[in-house]
Amino acid sequence: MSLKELQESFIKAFDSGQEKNQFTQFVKAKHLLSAEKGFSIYLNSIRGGLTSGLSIVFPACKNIVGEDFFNKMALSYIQETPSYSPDVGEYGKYFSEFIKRFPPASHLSYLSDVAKLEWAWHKAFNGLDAKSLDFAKLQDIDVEETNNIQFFMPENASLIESEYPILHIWTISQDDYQGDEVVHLEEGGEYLIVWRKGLEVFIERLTEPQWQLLQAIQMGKTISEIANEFSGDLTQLLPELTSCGWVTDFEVES
Amino acid sequence: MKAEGRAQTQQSIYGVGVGLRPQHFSYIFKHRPKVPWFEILTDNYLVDGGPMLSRLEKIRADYPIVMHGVGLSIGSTDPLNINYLKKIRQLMEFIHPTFVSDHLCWSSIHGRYFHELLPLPYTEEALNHVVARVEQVQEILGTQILLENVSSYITYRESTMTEWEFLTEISKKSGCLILLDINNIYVSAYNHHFDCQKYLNHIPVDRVAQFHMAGCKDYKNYLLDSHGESIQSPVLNLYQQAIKRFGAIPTSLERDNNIPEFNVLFNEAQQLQEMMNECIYVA
Ligand SMILES: [Fe+2]
Repeated sequence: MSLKELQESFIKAFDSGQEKNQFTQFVKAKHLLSAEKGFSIYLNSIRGGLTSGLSIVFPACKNIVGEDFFNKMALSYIQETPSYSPDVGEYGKYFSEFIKRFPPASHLSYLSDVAKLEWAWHKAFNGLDAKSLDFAKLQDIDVEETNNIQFFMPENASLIESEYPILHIWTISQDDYQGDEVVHLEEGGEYLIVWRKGLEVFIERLTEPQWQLLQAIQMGKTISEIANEFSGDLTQLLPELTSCGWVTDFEVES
Repeated sequence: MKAEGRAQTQQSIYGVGVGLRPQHFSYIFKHRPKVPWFEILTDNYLVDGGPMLSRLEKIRADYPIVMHGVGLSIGSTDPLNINYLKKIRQLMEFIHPTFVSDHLCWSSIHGRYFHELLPLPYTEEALNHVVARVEQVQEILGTQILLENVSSYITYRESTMTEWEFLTEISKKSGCLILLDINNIYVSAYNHHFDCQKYLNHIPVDRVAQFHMAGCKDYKNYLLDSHGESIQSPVLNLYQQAIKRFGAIPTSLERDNNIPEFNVLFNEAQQLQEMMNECIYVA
């Protein structure tokens, strides 16, 4: 057995979830601790560690469905989602997508979007610090080049669109929330931006024109491209987004 | 990233430090407890920005820091994860830690991470493999690293050495130092029926730079390295033996589950500090 073979056999053993497997053949049995038991301690520890990692990033989802349901959902995610980063904080990247296809959660149609919101919060929390827009530099741009300006949102920001009132659902699902716990799904959907300014993460509702403009900016469109397809008033909206801190940088496309 | 005056140089550490946990940030900022140094979980701070780094910077202004990681996967047969090492190096430049440590184990293969400290077989092949990688890591990080003995629940048929022989050889051949986790020795000795004292006696005194102390849980057929309760008394006894052999080695108290109020950890660290003082006095 080479070291590589031993390590490769662990992948198969882990994915099979069986206590008797190729890996345990390499393991020495002990008086009180069989090879299978030894392996199962690792299997459970890995699953437990990833589950608690997910519950730290998705506390509102956990509060909505309860601990047992959450743990089952996490286990199912773990069984189909390998981790490809040493950073366990990256592991929840596909959780929202997974919830959408997780049959036992199908009656909770909004849950996947709440997970998306929590993931955006997590990314904003640990993401790059937002800059503030350099107005002096902006004024230096030649008039003929203004059409080629491409604006940027803060790198830590995400845009989320949902058919459901997920900000309200998220708010009442916080650990420390006190107050009325009723949400009517008929309250309707929303457009949100999640971002961090200084040390604080913000979740804010956007109007439809704000949302459309930010989406165009996120797609990397230039001012002239946006002006051609955008029906709203750019001269009013753009300063509005800037003053909110949602547009923080620009480049001139050549 | 800026670093404040005092933080710009590496500081020597003494006595019993405490594992820094986010739950305790506000207490520490408010009360500035008399802890000689803190040990951080490196991986929690390999982020691009935000509150974690700014809080760490604030702590660093008042306390020396050691960095303790879990993602290195030094025993993996994959190539080293250079991106991960770059992030570690960046964090080192930011906080100037006294030590940088990780575990003598493997946790990834074919790019898949298990986020677990899996034990290695103690063979010549694994020894040579790890030695070469430690040399590479020390080159990239520009510093001597510390490797910690892990708790384990399995051993391998192919092993030809004891764990203490393996650990010692790795340290001697690669030039890395040892972070000796006293609780891990106790846990593994129970699970694999070896003698803790023999383990301690075989580790060369000049290779140990740091101790770990933590709690474990008794499942009758085995002990689990749970880090969720206070230190077991046999581990305290073993700590005494370790101080007698190795001297007043900087020790950190680790707690990762059922995290209590800071004061509880502080008092437990004080207890270890007293044991350390007593042993020095007797010596
Ligand atoms: Fe440890």
